[in-house]
Amino acid sequence: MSTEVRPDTFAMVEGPGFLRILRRELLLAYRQRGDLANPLLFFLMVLALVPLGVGPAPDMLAALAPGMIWIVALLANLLAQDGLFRGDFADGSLEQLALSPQPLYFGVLAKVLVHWLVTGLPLTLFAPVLGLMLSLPESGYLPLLLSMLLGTASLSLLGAIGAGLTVSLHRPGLLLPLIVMPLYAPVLIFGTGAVQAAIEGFAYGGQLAVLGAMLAAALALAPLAVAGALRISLSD
Amino acid sequence: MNFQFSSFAEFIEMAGHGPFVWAAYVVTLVTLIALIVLPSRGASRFIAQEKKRLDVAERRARAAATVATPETSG
Amino acid sequence: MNWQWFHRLGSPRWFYQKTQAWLPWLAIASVVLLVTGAIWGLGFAPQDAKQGNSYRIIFIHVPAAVLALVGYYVMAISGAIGLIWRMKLPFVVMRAAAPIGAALTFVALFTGAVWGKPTWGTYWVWDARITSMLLLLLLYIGVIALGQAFLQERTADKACAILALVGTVNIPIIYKSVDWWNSLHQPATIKLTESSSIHPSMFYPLLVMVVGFYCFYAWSLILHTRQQILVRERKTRWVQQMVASGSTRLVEEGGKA
Repeated sequence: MSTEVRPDTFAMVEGPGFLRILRRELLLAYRQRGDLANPLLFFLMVLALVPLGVGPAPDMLAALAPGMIWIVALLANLLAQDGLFRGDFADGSLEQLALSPQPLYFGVLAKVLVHWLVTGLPLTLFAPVLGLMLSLPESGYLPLLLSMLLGTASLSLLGAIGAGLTVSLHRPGLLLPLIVMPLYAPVLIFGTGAVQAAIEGFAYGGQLAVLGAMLAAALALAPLAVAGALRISLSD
Repeated sequence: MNFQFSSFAEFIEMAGHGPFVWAAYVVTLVTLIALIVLPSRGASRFIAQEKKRLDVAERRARAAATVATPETSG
Repeated sequence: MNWQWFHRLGSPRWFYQKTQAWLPWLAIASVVLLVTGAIWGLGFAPQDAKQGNSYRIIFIHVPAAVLALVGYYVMAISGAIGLIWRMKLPFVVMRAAAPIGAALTFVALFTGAVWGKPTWGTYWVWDARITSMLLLLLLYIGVIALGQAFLQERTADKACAILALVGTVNIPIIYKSVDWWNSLHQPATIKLTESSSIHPSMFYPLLVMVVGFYCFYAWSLILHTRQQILVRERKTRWVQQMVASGSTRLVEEGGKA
């Protein structure tokens, strides 16, 4: 797998570049389908530790479920962030992307979108299963699904900033999580907030609206920061 | 405006809250002193270090010159 | 419009020269204000009706917290100036501001925790402000760690500036969301004394301390920046001359340079 030829190079991009990059990224992700399972596996593994750690009592697990599922999803997302630009940085295609005539903004957006499609979306779809295992109350499933759908997209965008800043470092270690964690806090708060509110029988539209607003802001601003970070990393 | 405590011992004691108040003030004081001392010492240490290196380089150059002179003159 | 002063700001040597004269005044102002404020607050301000003497921690806790937050903006704005105008000096100021801010955030957290024990009966509660402060500390540590991770100083400067700016956009969001989260989880939070309702006999020493902390911040920031300048400009003639004279003071040769 390591010697395979990349399906497309950014230098050849003509016409609608965004879609080209999107297609290339999706193809790359498809070729490395083995990696796709990693975040899900991590998600399952860590959540299996929760009952082992706090005991199997269903009401205890139910109380912890919204927070635990959200936290572990966040960590799984963080784990996948490091690889976001690393391969492209190593083989020089990131440099080509930065040199291409279209704004780096759209290239970043395409990469993050694919990153979300292969990590955030599967995590979201998988979350109800884990909710079942942690005896999440019934009213919590829909808000869990919706909040994670909006929230993981924000996480991917925010995490990309950290990934862009650390991509040129050989051993980033804990740096990426350290940089990104404070930025993740608001998403976590409103994500679990929505589920908690629904379980307690309150309306959760407000929390979802806030998550949506965060996503809109992140969508507009984060790729700018990522593009700046990548240009700096490339000049290192 | 009067001193609020009747004796120095009472001032230290602060009606039982002494340890907390003094711990907070001491830690703050130590941190603030460090924020002044560290950069000042760092600067003078840097100058001293560079000077030492400069002196060593100079001495070496002079030594090389004195070794080289007799050969060229003789 | 004369922009010369602005471009001079970008010159490390100019900064080093100018601030040399300010340092003693800043040092005197900080020490006098902080000592006055501390003695006033510790000994002469009246006891608080509810909290007794433990409230005297407010005179360091609040100024430290204020400067911790202001320091983040100092750092981010310096970084932005450096990025936009490609100047050396603002980057140095930005990098110097990070450890000071982190130290002051730590002081705010520590004094808050110690104050919490006699007041709330516990060292740590997940109070909105304490939690925000903890996240602020992580933001500072992130900038420091990122700055140390790069081999090239220039790259490190720019990367830190971007991170600081991202943090600036996020700080209000983090504060608001933590506030909301806290009101959700702990409806009966004990509120700290509101500074608007504080009695004048307690407010004046607090004001002295806040001004003192501002002076101290400027003093420390200038010292940190000067040290950084020396290290970064070590190859230049003026630093080499200082090295030769063995002093950290920059002496002008023959009037104005």
